[in-house]
Amino acid sequence: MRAYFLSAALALSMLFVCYFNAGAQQHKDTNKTQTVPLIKGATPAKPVTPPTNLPKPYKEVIPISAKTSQGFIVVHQVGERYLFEIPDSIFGRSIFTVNRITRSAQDWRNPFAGLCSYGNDWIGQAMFSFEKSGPDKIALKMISTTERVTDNDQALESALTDNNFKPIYAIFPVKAYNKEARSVVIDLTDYLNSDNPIFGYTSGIKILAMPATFSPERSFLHSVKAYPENIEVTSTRTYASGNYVLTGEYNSSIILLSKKPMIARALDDRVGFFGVSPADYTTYDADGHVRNQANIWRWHMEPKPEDRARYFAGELVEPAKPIVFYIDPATPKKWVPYLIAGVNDWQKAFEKAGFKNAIMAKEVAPADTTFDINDSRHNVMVYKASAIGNALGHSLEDPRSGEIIESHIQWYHSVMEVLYKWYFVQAGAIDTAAQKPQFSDELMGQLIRFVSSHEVGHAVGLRHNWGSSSTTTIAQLRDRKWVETHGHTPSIMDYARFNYVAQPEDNVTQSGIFARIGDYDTWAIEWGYRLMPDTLTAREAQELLNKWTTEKLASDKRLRFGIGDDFTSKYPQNQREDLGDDPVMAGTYGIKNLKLIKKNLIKWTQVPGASYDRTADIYKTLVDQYDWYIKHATAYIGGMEFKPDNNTEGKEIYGYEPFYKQKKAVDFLNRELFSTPEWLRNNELYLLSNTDFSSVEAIQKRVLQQLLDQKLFNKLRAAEKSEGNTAYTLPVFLNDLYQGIFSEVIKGGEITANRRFLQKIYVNEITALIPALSRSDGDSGSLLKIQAKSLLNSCKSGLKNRKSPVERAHLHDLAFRLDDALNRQLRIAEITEKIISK
Amino acid sequence: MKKNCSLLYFKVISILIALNFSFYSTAQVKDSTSNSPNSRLRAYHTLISGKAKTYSSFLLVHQIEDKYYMEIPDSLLGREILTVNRLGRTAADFRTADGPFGYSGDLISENLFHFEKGPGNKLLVKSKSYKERASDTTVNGMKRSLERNNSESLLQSFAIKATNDSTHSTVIELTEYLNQDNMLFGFSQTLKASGGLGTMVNDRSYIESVKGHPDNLFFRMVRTYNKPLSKGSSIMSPFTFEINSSMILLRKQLMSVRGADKRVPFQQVDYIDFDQNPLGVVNLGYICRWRMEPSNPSDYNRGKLSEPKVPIRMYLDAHIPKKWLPYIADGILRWNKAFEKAGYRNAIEVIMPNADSNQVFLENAHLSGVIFKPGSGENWGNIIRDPRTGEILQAQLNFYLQDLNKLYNHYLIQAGALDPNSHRATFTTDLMGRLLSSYMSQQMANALGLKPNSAASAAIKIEDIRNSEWLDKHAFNGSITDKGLINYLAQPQDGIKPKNLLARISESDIWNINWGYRSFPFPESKVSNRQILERSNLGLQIYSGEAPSGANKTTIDPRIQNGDLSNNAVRAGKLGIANLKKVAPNLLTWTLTQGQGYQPASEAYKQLVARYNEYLRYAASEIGGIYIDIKNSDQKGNVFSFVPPLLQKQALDFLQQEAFKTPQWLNLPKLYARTETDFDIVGKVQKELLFDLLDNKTLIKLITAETAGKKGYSPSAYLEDLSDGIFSELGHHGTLDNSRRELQKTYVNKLVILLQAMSKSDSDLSSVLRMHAMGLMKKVKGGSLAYKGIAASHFTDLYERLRLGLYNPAQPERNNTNPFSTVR
Repeated sequence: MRAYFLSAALALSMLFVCYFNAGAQQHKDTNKTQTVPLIKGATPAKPVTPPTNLPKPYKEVIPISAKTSQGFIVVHQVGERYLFEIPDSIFGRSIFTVNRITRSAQDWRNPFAGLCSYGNDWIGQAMFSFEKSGPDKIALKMISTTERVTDNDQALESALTDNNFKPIYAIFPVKAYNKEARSVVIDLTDYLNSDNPIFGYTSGIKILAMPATFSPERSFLHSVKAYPENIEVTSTRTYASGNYVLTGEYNSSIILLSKKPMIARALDDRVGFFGVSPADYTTYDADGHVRNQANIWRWHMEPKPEDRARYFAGELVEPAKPIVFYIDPATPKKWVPYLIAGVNDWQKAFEKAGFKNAIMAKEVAPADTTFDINDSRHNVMVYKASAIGNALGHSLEDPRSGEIIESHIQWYHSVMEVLYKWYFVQAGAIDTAAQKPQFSDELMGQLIRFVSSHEVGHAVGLRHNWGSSSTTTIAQLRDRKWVETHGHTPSIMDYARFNYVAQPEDNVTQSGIFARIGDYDTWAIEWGYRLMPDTLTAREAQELLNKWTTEKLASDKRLRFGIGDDFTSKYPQNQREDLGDDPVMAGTYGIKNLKLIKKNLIKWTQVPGASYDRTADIYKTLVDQYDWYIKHATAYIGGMEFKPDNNTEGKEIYGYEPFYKQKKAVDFLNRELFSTPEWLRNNELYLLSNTDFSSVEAIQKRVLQQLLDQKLFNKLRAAEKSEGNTAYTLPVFLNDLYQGIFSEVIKGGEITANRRFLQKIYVNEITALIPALSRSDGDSGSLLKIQAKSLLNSCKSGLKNRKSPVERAHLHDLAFRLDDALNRQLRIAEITEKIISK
Repeated sequence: MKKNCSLLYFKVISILIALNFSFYSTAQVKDSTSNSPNSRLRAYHTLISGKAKTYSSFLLVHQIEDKYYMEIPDSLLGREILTVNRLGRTAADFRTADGPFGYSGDLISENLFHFEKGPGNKLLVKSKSYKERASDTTVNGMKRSLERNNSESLLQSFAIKATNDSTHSTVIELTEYLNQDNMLFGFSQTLKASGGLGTMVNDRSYIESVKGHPDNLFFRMVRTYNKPLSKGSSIMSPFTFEINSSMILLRKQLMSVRGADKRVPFQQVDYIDFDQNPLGVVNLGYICRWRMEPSNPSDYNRGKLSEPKVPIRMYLDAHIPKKWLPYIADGILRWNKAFEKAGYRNAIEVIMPNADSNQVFLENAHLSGVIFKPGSGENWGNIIRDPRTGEILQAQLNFYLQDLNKLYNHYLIQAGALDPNSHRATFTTDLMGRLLSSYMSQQMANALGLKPNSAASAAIKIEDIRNSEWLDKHAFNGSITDKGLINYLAQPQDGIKPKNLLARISESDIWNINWGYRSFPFPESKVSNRQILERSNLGLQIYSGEAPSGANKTTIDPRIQNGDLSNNAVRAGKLGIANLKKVAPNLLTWTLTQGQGYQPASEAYKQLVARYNEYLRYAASEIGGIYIDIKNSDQKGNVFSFVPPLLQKQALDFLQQEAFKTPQWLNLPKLYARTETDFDIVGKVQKELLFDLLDNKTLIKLITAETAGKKGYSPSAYLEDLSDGIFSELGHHGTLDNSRRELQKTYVNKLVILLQAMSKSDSDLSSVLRMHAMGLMKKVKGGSLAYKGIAASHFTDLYERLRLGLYNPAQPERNNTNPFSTVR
């Protein structure tokens, strides 16, 4: 047993060597010497002088023929080896790498939203330092910043240091010392050309991003170049899995981070900046307070030293280093001006923070052959030939402070088709420019500008603000003057694309239909980028910022940050794709517009001579848009409100949607969804394409099941527990729904096929719930039984006076199902009881 | 992928074969050269040349470049050696919220072993077990048989590299052994597994330093381990630790032992003795205690105080924030008073950290102290003891930074009504310091060898606990080893001084220290027993076992409960709740720090509800309870007796009033609107309590008392009383809120579950439950007719559930049988 164990352990450790030998030449060597005797059989092993790892004289290691590039680390190329000469001053400094694919293998497009599979895609990043460890050894250690000290307690500081020992990712033997330059030479070639989480895929994402195995024989370095602030490594890497071989070109930028991190600004729940949510680090103080905190992500923006005084005096000044985006030279020419405009539109917002010309986009001069989109010193808007309809505003941060180091915005070609469909189904009824199979370049350009601004918003640190649009009233959305002045949502960071509430008779023009950088956005930029006076301590600055935020938010409701993306999107006010403060009215107007568009669908979208596929596609988008309106209203049933506050305002944070809003939402569903939406039927198109009414029925079924669900019951129960009888309670809700689904069973009238379909879904759901809830301690089980009993009675009495055979069969079927669920078990019990008690 | 795997497998196999081959060949070469003693000596001088760096301790370590050799004198063979391994510096991001292991100072293994020469030029590392003992070495004696059955485990065998016949010592090479996971230095296997650590990465691990002290050999090693990124993940990420290993030689002269007695709460080392009973075995134990001998025996024997030869020295971690040091020291030193009773002056010393003493005690297994952990954890530290005698060799107390937060919440909640100083978001250093002192006294009890004595509190009267003058002289807590830290039942009008609100070392603690540490004249077992008898004759509560963890279901003796106070759980609970009622409405304001959110209020509220639950549970344990008084035959009275029915009834009344009548005072909408808490956490307390009161285990306790012929609380009367309270509205058609409806459903659900579970049992309980359910069904039926609306549908449903439960028990189990599931 023991022997077995030992060999298992050995095998494991050897496995590691196998995996690693690509990276560590010295291992390969020892393996080779060991395999020699095996091949030769009985001949004794020749005494091999062990390869000594001891440092050699500098000149021997770095011959004059070496190709040298100077940077914060000096890189020497000697033959095929890359030797890093690290000055003593760099040891312990924080170094950051970002790794990208520069040319991707065509056969690899990640089904997971295209993750890490297009040229210039991010694949990983890391913060590490080089440290001397042991005699003639240099360790590469990963840096963690997850635990920090709030106050100045020295003892606590050192306790945290001892409890956060940096993991060693690699150890390199010193090749030579350069005594004059006080630097140390190590050979990084093999490590750079191996599959490791520092210079390759981040380990958490690897399994999703690259399913094949690294193949060292088919991978090699192209070049390693040092610049003053960065080192660029380019390589070819091959990953293989069976017959599947994926070769790509990769780039790692190694960046020296500033010695002192930028002054950080703490994340505030009330303003929508990126930061690691809920927290990227934990702070400790000597009183035992442990708090999770995060810093916002923002660019290091400061006035030039000579302008500093003027800045604090309130003058508009230029920043020492503006944010400059380069447009990928591979971008189609006609869109370039709009992309640039989308970036430059933010200048106005930065002026609020005291900076002029703070952000701009530039074209790369055609003559400039040296421009490299992967060079970490550039921010680039990258254009991708891709079928994905999306764009990403990606940026990289210094983990210590949240300083944005660089940004690469990813623009996927097919975003244009998405823009067409959105604009067509949302604004098609009110903008004649949209009533065409192809938009004019001018209109498409404006749409691109709008998306460009949204992504740049991300790149300067802003999160989505899905709640922003809920601050606009329905009346304002339809008021031409108002909406053209203010925009239909205060934030371009909302998913509130176009004004779908405005009606044709309101005569709203494009400036009232398009989202733009709004009041919230400029406020957020001001909040994130305005510098606090130098004279304040960190604590005073924090207090001032806090007070300012509180006052500002109290003064203008439109500055509300309603989050999105994360769990907070469950709050109905924070929904995506919605508009206005009243989902029922917004949905009603939206549907009115959809009706008009649907009527003209083929006329407006069909290209003569083309197939009907695209029109069918647009019809599906139209149904999806209808589905959004249904979803928006549904979310209010049992919904909660959430208003972040860090207690300076003392206001309530959580609340429940009021009774009437929920009741109106149920009425809306009864009216617009459960009373068959015949207007969506497009029989002409159904005969020409692969569309049919089942997509609408699927929505009906999904929503009805969602409403008859324990999750929703729990929400209503929570509201009742908190608000008592003023809440929209479960019995009231169940009754409202019942009245809608079975109106003609209760009151009489024809039961159509679609309605029979809905009623069967209802009965199936509750008959499944009754036994499932038979041991629950809430009211829902008792109430559903009562509901089922009265439905059973209605079905029975309906059978008495209905003649239609289909309807009779339907009611009979329902009655049987209900009786079975309600009474079968009880009848057995009743009989047993009688027999025993006799 | 498959192809790849098999390829890899082939590679591993071939490398393994290669490795085996080379091992074999080197072994052969060595054997041919190391035959005669002379050549081995020569080998010594070639091996340990002038280049060697030597660290000397009770054995020698030689370092030659990157190789390490250990030289063991023959006199050391067979001697017990202890290695204590701790984390020196711990990997960043290794700890998780639910796995607080992995702080600097955490114990990762201790190993007791000895060296022995083995056949074939080997030096063996073996470990002995002391679980079974026999000293009779005669022909028929048990010792020889025992030795056959207790073979010592062989931890490692080393090839002897050289011997030095002039110094009588043996040299082995340690390099490879130290550079891989091994049995002596580093993580214990279990800890490695529970910490999720995978393989050790040898090429990123190294020996950092070695230090030789006369009594201690110290290694510091850096080791990198791979750990799956998340549980079950195949992606590994490295974690690097600095490991401190201290190796000490145990003294030849054993500490004198003291036999354990289950009536006195000392920790013990157990063994089975084969000599004492010729027909069987005897389970015996020695108490765990420090080696304490008077420096002046004659003074000591004359009853004078004497300083110990070696005091218990506690070093304080240099990482502890400075302001807490004096309070921690105070908490530890308070025990000196107890040792004076046992005849020792200054038995405990505290060594404050200074600039260069950075954690010096962590490098030496002879030294004890308080380790600071900047985070949270539950561990009360540990003691390392000699398995032969119970001698405590090293004690480690933990001070987690988050303990301050826990103490804050405890005091705010339990003493908030009594001490206005607590009404703030951060306590003054003085108040927090005093809390910390009491807390450290508690922890120190563990380090002195004591066991928790939760029964002691039941000896204290409520009147005394509320009496300011009595408190000046006595501790309100029966024993500092009990979890209770705060006088939660004093009332504002009692005018208790804040200092009397905190737990102190009690008379019974002092008595225990005296019993364990005083040297007695021979034969000491008689003396120690006499002391116990005297104390029991005086009617002073001694000790009747440790409190079980968990609530009512497992508690047998209601007096033995963690953290309760006084001899009357019902009255204590009422007083405690009266105080909580004064605290609850103020939580939002008392805990508020501007701009920092409401998290502290939410945390405090949860703690308050938990505290409320504990008061309920202390009383609930009375129901079906049995008193246990451990006695030997030379003591009068019964060991077991039943809790009087009146007390049980009072407890049930208390629960009806305070738990099942919806406790509206805990319903705090203002707080719920600002935090993620809600009234459901109170509902959960109610339902779990009801569930346990209707549990098999509780009911069987009652049945036991009844069948024992005692006039206990009869199970059917108990069920009537319980349901009368839960369904009290039925009598007068009172209105029902949501909480009451849910409570009633919980009751019926549990009843039906029990009915069905017991449908084939041979216990009377089944019949009792059936009768009860039939009665309840009738009552509920009446209710369904008298009510309207939601209440009517509620009672109809209950009626149907009971009917099905009673007469259709064969119905299949549904998915949702857990009444505490989120499904309502």
